Amino acid sequence: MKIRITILVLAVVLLSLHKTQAFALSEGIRSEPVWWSFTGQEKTSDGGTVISLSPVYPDGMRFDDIEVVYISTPGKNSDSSRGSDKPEIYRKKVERPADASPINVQIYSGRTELIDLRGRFSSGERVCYAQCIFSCYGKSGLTDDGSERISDAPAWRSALLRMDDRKFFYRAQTGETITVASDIPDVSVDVFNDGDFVLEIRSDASGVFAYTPPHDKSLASAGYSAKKDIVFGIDLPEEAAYLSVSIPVYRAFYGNTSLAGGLSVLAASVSGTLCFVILRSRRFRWR
Amino acid sequence: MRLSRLRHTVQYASFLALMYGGRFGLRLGSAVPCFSCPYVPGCGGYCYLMGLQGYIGFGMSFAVAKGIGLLHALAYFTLFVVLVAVFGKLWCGWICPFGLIQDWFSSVRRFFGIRERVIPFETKQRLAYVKYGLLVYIAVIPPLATAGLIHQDFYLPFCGICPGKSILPLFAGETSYMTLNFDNAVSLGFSAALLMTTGIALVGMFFKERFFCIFCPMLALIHMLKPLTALRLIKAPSSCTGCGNCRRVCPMDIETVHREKTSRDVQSEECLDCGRCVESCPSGGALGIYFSKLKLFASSRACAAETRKIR
Repeated sequence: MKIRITILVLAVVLLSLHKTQAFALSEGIRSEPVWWSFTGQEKTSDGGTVISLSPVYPDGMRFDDIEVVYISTPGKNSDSSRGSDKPEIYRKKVERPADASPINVQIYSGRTELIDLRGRFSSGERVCYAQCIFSCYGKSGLTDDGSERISDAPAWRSALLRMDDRKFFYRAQTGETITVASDIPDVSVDVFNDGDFVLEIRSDASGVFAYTPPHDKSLASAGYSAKKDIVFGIDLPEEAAYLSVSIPVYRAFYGNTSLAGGLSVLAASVSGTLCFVILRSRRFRWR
Repeated sequence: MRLSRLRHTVQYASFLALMYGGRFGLRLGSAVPCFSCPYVPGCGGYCYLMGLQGYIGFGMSFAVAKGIGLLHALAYFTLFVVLVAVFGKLWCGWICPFGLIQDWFSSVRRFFGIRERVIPFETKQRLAYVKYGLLVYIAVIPPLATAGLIHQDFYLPFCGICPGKSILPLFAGETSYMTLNFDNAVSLGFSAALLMTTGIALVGMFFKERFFCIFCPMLALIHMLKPLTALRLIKAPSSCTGCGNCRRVCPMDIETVHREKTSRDVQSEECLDCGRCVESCPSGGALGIYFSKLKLFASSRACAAETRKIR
């Protein structure tokens, strides 16, 4: 009898332990988001236009390993300073910070190109894949930033995020829909606006999701090059992974325009000038 | 072949190449010495004034001007100088797409039998300084914007008020620059100013031949490079009969060619090298267009008679 009771108690304990472990696997090691963010203004130097980016991650997070690569696709109208019109893949050496100092990645660009920056940040069992896709208008001929050219992008994960290059070779703007493709159907996607969580959207059956960043008064009043980061994040607890893609979004070129107002000013200008010409000017004598 | 017919052929070919050439792979860069507007989708090359604003603002005013950025700016400047040295003001009279549009406005006016309006000599003399003022404006404003002393939206100040920006894109179906931009006070001011200058230009172009050329800073820039250009309008004062045809047909109402009695070089600041004075001159060899010492075209009685008959 005693043995039966002991076995029963053990079974209950084991069952509860198993449940706790399963809960820990699904909930306990939920990945923290990591994403790329632009730091400072673009600068022109001897080596080209320098774009600085840093990963944003929770305080206290430490990484065991960091890998960074970027894929450079030349624009249709760019003078290819690297001598090729095909996408080129480069590996960036990024030192793991011993202390809490920020990680900074600098990309040198000397042409019009689309950069797909990818980072793999591992911390224990957790892995974060952070991407940043942006157009670059480099102004220099030199682009040697110490990156190592590699033949293939590392096969980290099949479901890294992709964008339609044809639509995205120009700056993403507020008011324009950003469409992102993934290999993960019907998954929840967190949308962050300049670091703040905004809303949750879902990818469709083919893994595609879309978001239209609203017009932003602060961007409109700032200069033409002011931008903000729109980040899409996907948490994959079963893989202990987090995917993110950051996209710099600029103010809309025509988000705040009025054709009727413009034509009114034009009509007023034409009328005023016409009156001036008719009332004030003289006829040319010989024609 | 009559000179004006040749000029029209070149004008239309240039118009097509510069306005739509980009759609067929033509890329002349940003050193084109005429109004080939980058705001035209699929244009074949960019007006150098835009590059100049960009280089002054972003290349020269940064402390890194010692680097490759400066070499890039100098490369385009050199290309611009070479293009001006070879073709001179043919860029204005024969190639500029905005010039052809101005000619169309004049043709419409003539079709309706409306007489051209004359700008008084004194007024014209005063207006001649406007284009140099615009050059100073182009040189001063972009560095201030780059340095952060004024709002960033001042970065292309001439494009912000150039009527070419609103008119030329219309030929590619682009109406976006006919709008008021309410993003901020600077963009609203620039869009309103652009539409006001567009209105003035449209009326001016109709009533006065090559009206905008009076104010064009590109013409001033090309004229500043005159010592380097090989193309010349040469007069033989001894052969001139003083008939005044050259003055009558000149789209810029230049009097120098008619009045000059001693000097051979009669190419003035406003001259567009269109050659109308040469083909209407009845005195054989009195006027000619020369490339260095090579005579390209000279006046003759036969040519003047044919020109008059066609007119």
